Amino acid sequence: MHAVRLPEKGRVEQWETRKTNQITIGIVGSGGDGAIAAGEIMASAAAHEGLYCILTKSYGATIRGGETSARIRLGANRVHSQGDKLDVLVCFSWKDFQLFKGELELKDQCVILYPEGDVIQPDQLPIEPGLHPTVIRVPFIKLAKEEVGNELTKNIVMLGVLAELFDLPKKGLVAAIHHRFERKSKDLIDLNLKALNIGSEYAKNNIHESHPVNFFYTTSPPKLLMTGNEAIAIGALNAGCRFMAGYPITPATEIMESLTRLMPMYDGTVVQAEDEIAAAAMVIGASFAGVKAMTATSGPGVSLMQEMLGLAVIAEIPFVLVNVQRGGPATGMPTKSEQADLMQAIFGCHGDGFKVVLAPCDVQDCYDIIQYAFAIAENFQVPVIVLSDQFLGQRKASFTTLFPDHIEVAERKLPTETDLENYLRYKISKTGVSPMTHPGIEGGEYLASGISHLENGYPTSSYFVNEQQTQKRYRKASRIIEKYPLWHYYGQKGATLGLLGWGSTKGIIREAVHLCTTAGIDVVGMVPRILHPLPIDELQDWFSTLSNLIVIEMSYSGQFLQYLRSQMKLPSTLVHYKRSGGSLIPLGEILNLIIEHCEESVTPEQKRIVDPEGIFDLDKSPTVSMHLRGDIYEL
Amino acid sequence: MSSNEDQIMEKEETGNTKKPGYSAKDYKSPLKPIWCPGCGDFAVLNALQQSFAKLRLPRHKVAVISGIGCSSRIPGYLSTYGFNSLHGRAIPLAIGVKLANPDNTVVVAGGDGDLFSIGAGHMPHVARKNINLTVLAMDNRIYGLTKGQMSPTTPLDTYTSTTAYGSYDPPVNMVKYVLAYGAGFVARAFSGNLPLLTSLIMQGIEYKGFAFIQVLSPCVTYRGKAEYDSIRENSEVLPDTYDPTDHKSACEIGDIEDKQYLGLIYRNDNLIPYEDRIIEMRKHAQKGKVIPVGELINLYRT
Ligand SMILES: Cc1ncc(C[n+]2csc(CCOP(=O)(O)OP(=O)(O)O)c2C)c(N)n1
Ligand code: SF4
Ligand SMILES: [Mg+2]
Repeated sequence: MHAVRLPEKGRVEQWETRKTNQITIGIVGSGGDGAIAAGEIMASAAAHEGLYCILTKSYGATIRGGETSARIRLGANRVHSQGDKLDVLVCFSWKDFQLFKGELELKDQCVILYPEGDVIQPDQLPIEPGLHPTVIRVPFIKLAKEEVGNELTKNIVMLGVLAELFDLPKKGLVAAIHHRFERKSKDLIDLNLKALNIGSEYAKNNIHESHPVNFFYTTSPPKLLMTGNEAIAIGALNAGCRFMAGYPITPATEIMESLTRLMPMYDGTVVQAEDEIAAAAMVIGASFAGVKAMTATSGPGVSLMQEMLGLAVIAEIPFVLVNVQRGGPATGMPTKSEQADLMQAIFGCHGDGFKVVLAPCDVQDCYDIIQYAFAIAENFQVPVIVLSDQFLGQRKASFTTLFPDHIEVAERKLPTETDLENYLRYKISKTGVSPMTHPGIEGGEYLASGISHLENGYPTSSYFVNEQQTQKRYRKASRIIEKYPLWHYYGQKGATLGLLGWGSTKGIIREAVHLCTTAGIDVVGMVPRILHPLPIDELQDWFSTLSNLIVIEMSYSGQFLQYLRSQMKLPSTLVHYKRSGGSLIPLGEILNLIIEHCEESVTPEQKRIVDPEGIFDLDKSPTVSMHLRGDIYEL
Repeated sequence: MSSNEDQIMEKEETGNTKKPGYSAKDYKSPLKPIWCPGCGDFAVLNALQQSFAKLRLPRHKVAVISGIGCSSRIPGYLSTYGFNSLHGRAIPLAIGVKLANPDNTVVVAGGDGDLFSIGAGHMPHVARKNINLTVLAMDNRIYGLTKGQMSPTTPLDTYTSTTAYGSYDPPVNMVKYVLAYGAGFVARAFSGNLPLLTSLIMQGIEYKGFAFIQVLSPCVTYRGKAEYDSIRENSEVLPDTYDPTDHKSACEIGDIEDKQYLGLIYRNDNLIPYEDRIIEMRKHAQKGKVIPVGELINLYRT
């Protein structure tokens, strides 16, 4: 099939239609356009037919009705990141599109669909100059209004059009519509199915422009589809958490929302506290009383919880705190991702307070990491901070399954009869852990306190005892790192170029490594999921095999690199890629960095394998080719 | 100091042979209070021990939660479970303790600063939620532990270490606030009247819901020994004819500031405690089929 590049005035070019097993679609509109709903239905359709997908949503400043965008990447094989540039853009409003411009970059040969009635003409589109899109205008509103009988269904009409044009999962869309509206009414299901059908019929009969994108895949069994926040909620329940207290905050609220619904089914309790200080206090209280407990919040909430974290440290109370990071400081960017709460997590709260910091690296990992968090908190009687971020917490991803029996469910170390004969709650021990009772256990009565204390819990201001107890608490660190070797390597072990990042940055690292490896470019990625205590020995061993290390993070001040530096010796050739939050790290920038820093120079053929569509400008030096880039420092 | 250590030794020797019973001294810990002689807090400690004894509460089923302050030292002097937490945070911490296991008796003790300045934000919420706690607000009208600064209940024109020209912040009226917050049990007691204090604590513990007791508990060091007499002069025990179930008269009593009425000011037995609401909610949530937690992932199958 041949296609015609449309809008460029006077120029007509021909090219082969790209058959692709992955596709990235952006949908932009105002609240009433149903852009997000369409994205969700498409994600559900994809998962139903066994496809991999990642759906990210973006909102403007308005609470309801403002500009929204959904970006969905579908793949027959695993997709690791949000996808760089769009293959397809559906734009209900160009005014809204301009607000998302930096987030929604278009491929040179993309397809753009927009409403027929729009006053903006195809040659006036406010897109990057020099692109060669295929532009298709569709009467979405007219079809919805006149043929379906309800203007609100225009987003579903649009899905019908997309499905027809690009061979997207049609059966899945039908199932997704059933799924979404089954709790509402049969009429709604019928209405939406009608809209879907009208959309695809319209495309079949009326859209004759050929276009360069065609998606192909084979169906496989339905996948799970959830957000990182949902994965944390069900993971926590699986770990035995039966108490949650929190205070609503974007982008963490869905954890609490899921738990308010599920927790009572398992005789658990969720309290909406008056503020985050109270939430943390309630969690510590419940845990002191013997119940596995957690809170979930974002940066501003964690700031309020600092004093409570210290209390959990010194009183040795298991305490799980999830921080779904957003842009900071202060209110910052509530709906955007960042990785700049790392130092706060590790070194936050006054005094020398040993806390454990874990970081999930994708949606599935949220399910596992929260369970490790409970295991560590309970086994070692420490606060554990789980550093998720908006990109992990609020994106929807599909995957084959989760493993509910993978991770040991820890039970707290209770005192034995002998321990109770002369019970010392804070008894100095080799492991740093001492048996812990709770109200209700006879003979185990003790005083928990935030004040420096003797082994029996009574206050002391003895410097000697204080030092002993501080040592006891820090002694937990080495056993934790031994027992929980939580990190991933990607790519060729032994490669001398290494990529190091944490949390949601893993997506881009894994994808870059995968692409490069396929092209025979040797590179290895490492993603620690335990950040404090840091697996220093492991990292040091790995560093010794590298000649070049690229550290990648979403923190303007480069907190991760600063932290690494404070803990160990880093390879002498070091490249630091950092940027502030708000926009996710683009794959192209990382690929460029890799190519630039490879030991052996990368051939044009290899570049073609990494980037067959030529969308990443791999031939140009990154410093001139990228306008939207992180700060890069060669150190 | 050595006598204190002797006491501990003695306890350890006898501890195994004889199980503690239900006399007031069974609720005493081996720690000797650091309070100044004459401090009103001794009476509160004493009244708590007597209340526990009279109610025959097993020590392991009681948790006393406090914040920071002279008053907040109290859990250390009791042989029950205790938590000496952070300044102002006893209430939310106690809420967690109570909700984790409502079988336990949970008492909160704190100072006027702890509960009505730094921790004041928690009070309206614990009251309206009606969590079954007994809160003892040990009101000495000063910051004791930090050595004599103005507190939220310090009377106007008082010289303290932070009010060199006399205090100019009008004081908080605890009873009035807590009534307004919707508390179902509100009382005022005085360290100088131990029987009344003990009786109110017992009623508060037995009350099914949030019970608030303001205890006028003099700080002899920073407000002077005369505080006892001045409280005696300006207070009066509510007459037997007073009906604490009438909210209107309770508010009238709360409004009176030149005389401190002592006793049970308000009691409403028709409020539902939070724990009961949670149990109802669980029943509701469990009406359908409840799948094992490990199968929750299937809720997300498309
Ligand atoms: C966050 C914090 N701020 C300040 C303090 C210092 N501080 C300790 S106790 C206290 C006031 C105590 O007054 P009150 O609560 O009335 O108790 P009292 O000592 O009078 O019984 C203060 C300000 C602290 N411990 N923590
Ligand atoms: S300073 Fe005041 S409140 Fe503190 S112990 Fe002494 S008398 Fe009691
Ligand atoms: Mg005070």
